[in-house]
Amino acid sequence: MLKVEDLTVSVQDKIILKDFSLEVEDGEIVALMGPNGIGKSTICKVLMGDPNYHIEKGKITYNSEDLLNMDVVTRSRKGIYLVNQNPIEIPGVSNADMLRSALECRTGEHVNFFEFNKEITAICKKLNIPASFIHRGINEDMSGGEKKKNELLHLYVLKPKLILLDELDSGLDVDSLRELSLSLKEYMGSDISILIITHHISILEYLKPNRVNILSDGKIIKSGDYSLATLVEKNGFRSISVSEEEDNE
Amino acid sequence: MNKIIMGGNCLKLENYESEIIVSDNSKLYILDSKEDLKLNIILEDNASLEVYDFNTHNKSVSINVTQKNNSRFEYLHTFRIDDEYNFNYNANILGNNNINNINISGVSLGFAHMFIDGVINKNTKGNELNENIKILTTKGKAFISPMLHVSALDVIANHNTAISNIREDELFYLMSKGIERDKAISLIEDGYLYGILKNTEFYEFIK
Repeated sequence: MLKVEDLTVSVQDKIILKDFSLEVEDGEIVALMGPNGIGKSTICKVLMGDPNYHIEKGKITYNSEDLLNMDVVTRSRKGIYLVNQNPIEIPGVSNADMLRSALECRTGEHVNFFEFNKEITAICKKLNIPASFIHRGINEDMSGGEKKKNELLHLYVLKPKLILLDELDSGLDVDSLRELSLSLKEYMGSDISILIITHHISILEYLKPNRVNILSDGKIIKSGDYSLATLVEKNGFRSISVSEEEDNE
Repeated sequence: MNKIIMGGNCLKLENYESEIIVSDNSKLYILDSKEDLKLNIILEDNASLEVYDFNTHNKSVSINVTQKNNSRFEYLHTFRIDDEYNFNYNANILGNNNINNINISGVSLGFAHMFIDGVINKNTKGNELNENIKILTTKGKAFISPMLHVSALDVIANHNTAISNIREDELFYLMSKGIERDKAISLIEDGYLYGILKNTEFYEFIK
């Protein structure tokens, strides 16, 4: 279980999140929605341990362990996995080399080349990814959709427990979004949880979150079920902010 | 000095100061030579040569290529050095319709001095010369001088040069997959050392 309590985060002395709180239970899919530039991606970076984000105050625990005391490598090994909005390219470093290294670093044991190849080939087939991806440079010369698929290939190999989807839907055509969402749904299990960052309802139509949260001014201003996302789609984020202000008055 | 005449053969060359005359389609593999290397390569009309040069020793390399007509020269060079490394490359295009592609990728933990000159002579036409050099300076330095001396009107000539350190976002990305920082650095360095060779049969020789 992920628990974020009263978190305030700044970047270059600018407060991005303020008194932000969020809970994601094991087996849950939770969405965090909000307009552009409001700090949605910040929460993903902070949860993954990006050193560019400064924690002013607050607490984050994952399975009752203090996440803020862990470096990015430890967080990854605890099962946290970030799918970036724009996955970076690392030319020359193949997916196979990176994934084998990641598995070896986690277990401290040598990964058998043939068994690894067999497993990753099967995953490619399952995800409808060309086997040639295995030996391509990480996200090298890939389209936006291919990069997201590539990140899913990594995910299936590394088997994380808490998946942070930072605008998975950006730059994806409808078919790719459907395919990726269904692959994620298939990956879900009772001990897996997903935090979806988005400003569109389309990904939520496939993944059907247990809870939807609306972010404004650095904190969650409204929570609800899937119907809240449909309301946003119909009336826009501003209608939620305005209604909250009216409620507060 | 050795004098080697190539005509459609594959030659593995080590520790030579050589003159190589190429009259057909050929390949030359230079695998981790421990000695200074000096090659004078002459491509006759309609010849082609692919040179694959892998080096992890500090030394001096000098390659002079002369092309006549309708020839093609491909040079793929990767290196990792931890001391002084002096590299000189001269392409001299005398005739018409030649292609010369230089692709260099290396890791400098010492000081790499790279001088790459391409000369396309007057009254020639239809020639192409492309220089693509990238060097990762994790703990070292690099100096690259890519020069194109073009005296003809009908030419395609490009140079693309990059000297960079490992980026923090690359490291963060790899570490977010559970890879320790040192291992992540080593993966990125290996990407420079092996990356451009990976889809070639030469890669099997290296491994």
